[in-house]
Amino acid sequence: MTSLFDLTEQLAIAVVGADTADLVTLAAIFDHLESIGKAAQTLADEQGRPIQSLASGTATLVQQIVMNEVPDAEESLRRVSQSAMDLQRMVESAMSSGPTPPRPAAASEIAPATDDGGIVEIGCNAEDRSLVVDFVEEARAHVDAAEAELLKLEEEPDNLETVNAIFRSFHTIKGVAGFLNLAQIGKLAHAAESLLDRAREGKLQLAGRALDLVLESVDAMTRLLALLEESIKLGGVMPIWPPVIGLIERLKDYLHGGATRPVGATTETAAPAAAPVTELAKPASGEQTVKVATDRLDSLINHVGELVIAHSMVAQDVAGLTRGNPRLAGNMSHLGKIARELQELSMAMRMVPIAGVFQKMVRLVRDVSRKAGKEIELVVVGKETELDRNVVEAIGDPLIHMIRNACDHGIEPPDVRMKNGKPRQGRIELKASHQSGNIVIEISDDGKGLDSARILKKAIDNGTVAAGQQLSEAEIFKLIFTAGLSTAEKVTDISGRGVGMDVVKKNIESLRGRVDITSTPGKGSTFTIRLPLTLAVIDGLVVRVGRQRYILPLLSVEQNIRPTVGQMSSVNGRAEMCTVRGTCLPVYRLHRLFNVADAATDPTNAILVVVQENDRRCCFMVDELLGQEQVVIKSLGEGLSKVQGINGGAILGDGNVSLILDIAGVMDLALSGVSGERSEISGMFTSFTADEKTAA
Amino acid sequence: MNRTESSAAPLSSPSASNASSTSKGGKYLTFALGAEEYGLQILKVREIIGWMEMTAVPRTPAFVNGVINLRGQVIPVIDLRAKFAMPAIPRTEQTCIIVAEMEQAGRRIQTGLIVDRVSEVLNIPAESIEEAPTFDPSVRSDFILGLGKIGRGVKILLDIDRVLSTADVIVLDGLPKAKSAA
Repeated sequence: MTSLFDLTEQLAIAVVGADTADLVTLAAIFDHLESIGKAAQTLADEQGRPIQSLASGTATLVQQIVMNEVPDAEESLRRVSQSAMDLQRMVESAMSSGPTPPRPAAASEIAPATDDGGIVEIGCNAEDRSLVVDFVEEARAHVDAAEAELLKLEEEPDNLETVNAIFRSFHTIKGVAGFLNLAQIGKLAHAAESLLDRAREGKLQLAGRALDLVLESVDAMTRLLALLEESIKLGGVMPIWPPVIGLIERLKDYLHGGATRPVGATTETAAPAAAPVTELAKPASGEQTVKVATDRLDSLINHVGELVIAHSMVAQDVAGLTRGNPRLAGNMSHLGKIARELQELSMAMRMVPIAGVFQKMVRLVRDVSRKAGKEIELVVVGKETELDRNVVEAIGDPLIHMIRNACDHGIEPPDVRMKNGKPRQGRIELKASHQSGNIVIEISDDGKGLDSARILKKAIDNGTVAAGQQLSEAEIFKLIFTAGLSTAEKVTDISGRGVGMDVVKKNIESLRGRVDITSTPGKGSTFTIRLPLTLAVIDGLVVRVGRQRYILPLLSVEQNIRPTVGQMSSVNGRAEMCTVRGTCLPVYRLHRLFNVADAATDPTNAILVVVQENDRRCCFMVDELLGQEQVVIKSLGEGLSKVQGINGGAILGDGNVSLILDIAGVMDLALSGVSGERSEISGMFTSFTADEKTAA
Repeated sequence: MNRTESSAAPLSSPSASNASSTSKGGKYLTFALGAEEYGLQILKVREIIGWMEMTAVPRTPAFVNGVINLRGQVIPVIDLRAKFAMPAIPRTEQTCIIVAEMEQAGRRIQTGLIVDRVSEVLNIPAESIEEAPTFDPSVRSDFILGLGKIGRGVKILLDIDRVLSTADVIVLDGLPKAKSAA
């Protein structure tokens, strides 16, 4: 009973602080009103009914304010605050007249508030849009959290705190969805919430089918949110996703059909069960966070970068003055330190722990192993390892493929394992760690390992490898990344279609990373993915060609040499080569490829940079090495994003832009035999720019 | 090759040009290329900056002059003279870069435009704006929003979305084709 009183108190406080534009507070008011309406059901009819109807009427009004459906929002808000005071008075008088026997609440809670309307189609008007976009993001976080908790629940099914946390996630989604008129999501959340409510009261154990149902709801919710996001983007109406209707029915059936299994003594202790809820209402993690739009963050990083550049320019300007002025010198270095710290800090803001991605893998292993009839334990190490947000987002899909492969191909069925003297339960270890500026993700299983003979046979069969070719074991393993090569004996719906691993390789390479495989037959395999910490920064070698400066990714640079006449040779008088430590490497002149004037043309006066990319090696001819620098990669702007041989731009210490070379792209460019002559490229533009050459 | 070019034009966001044709009247930033006066819708102009050193980007059309650092952001700069196939002139003190902004798929794209001289901001009412007549095929009129007749002369009002998005199409589609042509 106190809770009803408390609720009106909270409502009154929220109303005082409300503003027509403050959606968060309005949402809170709406929530309070809803809870008051619910709580009032426990009162006797003559007292409860008026409270219920006033609460629900006011809730509707709040909803209208949010939806901009009222002519004068301020006036409506005043009415809300008046109703809040009335409610408080009514509750007070109801309390003083003594508690009345509570009505059974359970029955009414199970039935959805607006039932038998089926699933209503959802229309989203323009004003709701930004609200919905926010909602999708928030709801995703809730769904993820719920999923994590659910998996925890599998290990300790009686943990009430966990059930509460899941319940709250669904409850929040339901609340906001109701607000935004998202019927499908609201109903699904409601149905799941009802089931969870039962579990929370201890009347049902969240295990077996009930747990599967909730997990299914989590998945369905993810789908619905994706659908919603898509339809918002397209500006259309969210379509009905038919499976959700069936799922809601099943949830309801489960609740109504004799699923209520009172767990022994818990029936008597129904009241204390409510206690943990309030206790848990505070945020689960102690760390407070603020959500920031990514473009704001990027712009902050840009500005801090500029600050560092501006500082170094000023430092150069005053360099002469600082000698006689220790105070100025001290202040300058202090300023520089602050600027650099700021830069580090702002870069660190883009970093997020990989835990979210790993979480998905736990779920994946659970589902796949069940489907394949295997027993697999997933051990996750280093989930707090932080990396760039973009990398985290992009690494998910490749990881899913690889883990799925490990479950399906790697780990043997339990009986086979027993026969081979291994424990029944297979083990997959997923490990993330930092290693010298890279992030390393290892996926190791204790399964049967890769069968190199069979991979080779398959590759020869489908023509990837010529029959007589001699390959090292590492080379054979790499074949599994070739499209169309699957070593699974039978095709299942989990894997074995021979697509996947080639996509994995492509995805990882697009993140500037690479995959290595080690495997021992009968013992298991380890896939090691190496990725740069962030996509935003690389270590670069700054080189000069004519008056232009270019940046070569240091990872690809092997060595630099000033060739002697004896080292240089050529074919047909054109194709140049240089003998570096006994190997003949092709020499590509950057000034020729990029059509740069005033560059050194005699190799013995120039520098050759030996670069390697994907087992291809060559020399780039440049005029001079200017030094190493850690640079922030920037896009060259929409129109220039796909220039061959160029990966992006970077702003150097003097504030000018320098181009970052895409080593593989430059090699392709050189091999294609196209020089950098502009006239050729703009050839298709001739009717318009007849005298372009002269203009250039 | 020429087919590609003509088919490229409709690619440039038709919605943007439709919207602008209904409300052509308004404020324009006018600038000069030689003796000709051009106008740019003021809402599309982000800022005007003086000349600065550029970094050339290889293998791009001649009208792409290079990229510059605009407060930490790298943006491409287009030489409007080259773009319109007008003869190049030496840079003067008045040469400057207009940073224009357009929106494409929800993202704001900034591009610098090199012009001979920036003149003034003019309010051109809709009734003073005429459709551009059809010229001989060597002159492209699809960049032209209309002709503003105000005061002494004619201001050529540019549909900057068209000017810029055609540049995109050229860069993205042009390169692979240039390869096969070589």
